[in-house]
Amino acid sequence: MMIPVLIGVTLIIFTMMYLTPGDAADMLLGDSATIEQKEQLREELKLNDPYLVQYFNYMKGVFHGDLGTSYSTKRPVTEELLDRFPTTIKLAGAGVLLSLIFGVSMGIISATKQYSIFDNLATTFSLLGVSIPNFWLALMLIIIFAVNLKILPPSGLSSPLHWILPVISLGMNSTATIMRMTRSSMLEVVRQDYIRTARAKGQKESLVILRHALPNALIPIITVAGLQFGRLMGGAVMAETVFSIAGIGKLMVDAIKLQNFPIVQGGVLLIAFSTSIVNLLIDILYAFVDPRIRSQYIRPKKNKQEALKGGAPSNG
Amino acid sequence: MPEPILEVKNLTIEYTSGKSIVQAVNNLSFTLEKGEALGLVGETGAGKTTTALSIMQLITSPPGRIKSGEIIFEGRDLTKLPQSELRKLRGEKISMIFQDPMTALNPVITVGDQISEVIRLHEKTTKLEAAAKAKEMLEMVGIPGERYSEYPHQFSGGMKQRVIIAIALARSPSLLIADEPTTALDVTIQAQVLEMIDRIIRELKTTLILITHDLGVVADICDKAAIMYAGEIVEYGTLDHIYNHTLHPYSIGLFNSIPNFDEDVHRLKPIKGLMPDPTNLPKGCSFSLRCPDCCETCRQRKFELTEAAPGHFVRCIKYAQV
Amino acid sequence: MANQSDTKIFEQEEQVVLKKQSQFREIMGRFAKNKLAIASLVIIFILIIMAVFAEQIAPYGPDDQDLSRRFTYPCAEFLLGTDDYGRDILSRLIYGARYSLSVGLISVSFSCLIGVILGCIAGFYGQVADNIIMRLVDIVLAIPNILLALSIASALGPGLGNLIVAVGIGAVPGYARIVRASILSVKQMEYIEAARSIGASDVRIITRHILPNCLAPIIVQATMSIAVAILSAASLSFLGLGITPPTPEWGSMLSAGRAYIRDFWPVVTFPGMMIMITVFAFNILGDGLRDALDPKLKV
Repeated sequence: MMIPVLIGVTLIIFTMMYLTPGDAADMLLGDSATIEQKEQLREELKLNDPYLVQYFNYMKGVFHGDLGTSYSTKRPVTEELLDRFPTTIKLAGAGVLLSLIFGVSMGIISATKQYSIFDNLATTFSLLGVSIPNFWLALMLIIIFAVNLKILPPSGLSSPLHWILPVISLGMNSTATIMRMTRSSMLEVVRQDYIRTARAKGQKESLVILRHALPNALIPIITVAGLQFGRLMGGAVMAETVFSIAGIGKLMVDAIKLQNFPIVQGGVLLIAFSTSIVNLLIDILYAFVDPRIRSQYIRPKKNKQEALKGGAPSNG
Repeated sequence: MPEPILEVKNLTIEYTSGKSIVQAVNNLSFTLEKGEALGLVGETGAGKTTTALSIMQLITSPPGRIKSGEIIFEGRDLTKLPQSELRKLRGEKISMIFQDPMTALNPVITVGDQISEVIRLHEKTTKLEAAAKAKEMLEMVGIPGERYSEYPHQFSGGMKQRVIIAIALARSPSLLIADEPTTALDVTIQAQVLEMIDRIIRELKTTLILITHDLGVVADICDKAAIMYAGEIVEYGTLDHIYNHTLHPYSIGLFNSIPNFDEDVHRLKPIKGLMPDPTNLPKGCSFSLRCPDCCETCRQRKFELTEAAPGHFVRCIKYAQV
Repeated sequence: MANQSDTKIFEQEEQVVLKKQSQFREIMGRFAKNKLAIASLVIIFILIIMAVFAEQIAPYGPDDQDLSRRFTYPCAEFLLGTDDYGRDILSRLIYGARYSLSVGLISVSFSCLIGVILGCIAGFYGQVADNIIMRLVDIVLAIPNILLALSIASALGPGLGNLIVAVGIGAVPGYARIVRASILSVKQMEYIEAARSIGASDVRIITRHILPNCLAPIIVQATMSIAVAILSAASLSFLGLGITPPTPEWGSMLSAGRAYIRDFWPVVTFPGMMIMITVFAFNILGDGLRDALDPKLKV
């Protein structure tokens, strides 16, 4: 399931880059180069091959972990990407972590105190949070904390302090989204009969919420958190640009401006790949959270295979 | 004279939805003695479940609210107790079996843990001891102890209801409220579950409030019955009073709408009409709109519960002391 | 006799109309109770007025430069100050509403149309068509939205029209999924069978019987994706891939103002605030519509 989708991703991105007007040779050699020099470079980069041949060669490389060569640095794309990949992953991961911590706890409090002042404030905050452009938030944070208060650095990632502003600006949207999802999911769960059963046992309200309600509300929350990871991998483009962080996002934006397509293709593919991995992990996590899903995996193995076959006949 | 374990006095409960106020329970009073089994009978929407939840003090507020009245359990008024005291009573002294076993168990916790939870809440024991006790409870309701670590979705409806009964009885409470414990079950399972409840409460000498719309069930298990209509008790007495000397027109109507296999009756006689809109109850007797014997006075004023025979109370103009 | 039955049918039709009206009225009633949603509607209305009558409302032209008055802080003359060319920020913001709103509205109508058609084909015809379309949807969803828009924008080059396409394509899968799911859920219903049995064509069945059923989620999704589209468009312009300076698009104003972040805050503050208010309004409108259209979903 994952592999065909990723192949589809390469096809789409490759085609888009192929169709992009302009030419790497013009870009790389500048106006001063002669037509012969450009033609030679094109030949070197195999840009004159037919579309399908180019794509086929590209895919042959991809399966061997070779994503081509960066036009501008002449280094392998895989190396360039992997140099910067940890930074972006850490940024996105920290953003998801931040939004889980704040989003889930605020969502729980909101749901248990529905219509209270806190709930109203938190709901308003979440609506603002999903609406705020994260690059603008980044700029505002820089103005406040770096330019005026001078307590946090405005760019780079060299110390733990440097992480604060990028992670906040990156995680704000997700915090709000996760908070909204937690709130509505919890509100749905606390209405269930088994919550009343727990209360009827004489259980403390705090434990009723944490032990009985929250585990049941988790499925939609982790679904959204998984989606947020992908969103943040994309959002890192903005945060890395504003805070001048050497991650994949900034690398790709710079590459787009230089028409350095192998980097763009590789970057999109790598990010799509890591989001697919995260989605896979989320699927596994479901089984940990919900015994009903778990038993689907463990007990009747045969049934599951049959269900898979029936569900998606074309993937076999 | 046996001591009363539970006294409900002039209980009025209302729900607010938007601008309209629903009187779910209306000036309700009854007394329950230790070891007695009371059947609370009425149609859907008569306020039976609300009454039960109010004894547990589990009415969700908002929208629900106990407007007035007292619920005196073992000498203490539950409506005035703080939450911390109520928590000590719930599961320990007063337990409840809920209507729908399919939704009353937490789907992500093993059934065993759900039983041992209530044990550990009220008794200082180790995890292991609580688990052993929970297994015993499972066996008592007829489920093999090794199914302790299974999840609710692996159980059938009837077995889930047994687990719920095990939870409710794990601490041998003095008062058990069973809210339509068999409505959601298959007919064959219904009898088993009822028989089990009956057996266990007799063993443990538990006082029982059985909420049902099934007069047959009440006859099997209970000592006394109260017929509820639109949030009020319209008739209250021993089984003999209610079944053999039925007085209130609504109760008579209920009995008439039960198929009777002893007599060869071709058509049932349902009570005409529907329950009145609870946001807009009639000014007079709440049954006046459907009552075959209704007269002008009935539409104008309400009547108090009147003792028609010793221990047999009726709320009707025919027996009212004018 | 015939006359009588005619009247009867007429009465029935009247009842149907009445029912429709009362349903509409009920929805409007629920919506009107939501003060926040009404406020968002007012904001959107003001934004539209700003965009349409920019020439009349804006105190200055969007490109009127006054190099002697560069970097003026907000004052009576320039309510929100001036930028690095001495252009009035307020006027530029008012003109900028045109770009953001048109990107939002046009890209959403475009993606909605395509998404609904694809969803109909996938859901109604199933099998091969369904598989191809849903796999495509999976592929598009595997690429984070902003990266997809980024790649499309770079392939198409800058400009309003290209920006609309770039932002719109990422939203297509959402509609396709909603429509497909709701078609699958009603496809087997008896009234569809009934319509088929009286010889209704596929197109008629889809447009008359199936689509009205998923109108509510589509409307909500569309409103919410206007917000998303405006955000992505501003992001792309900020990166220099959408609408480029000197066009007074809010994102590109931010991009141009970024250089002066240390010394002059108005150039980066106000355009972002406009984006946020606009996105906020559409989000709240979407929330309010969802609550009004489907009270069951309300929590």
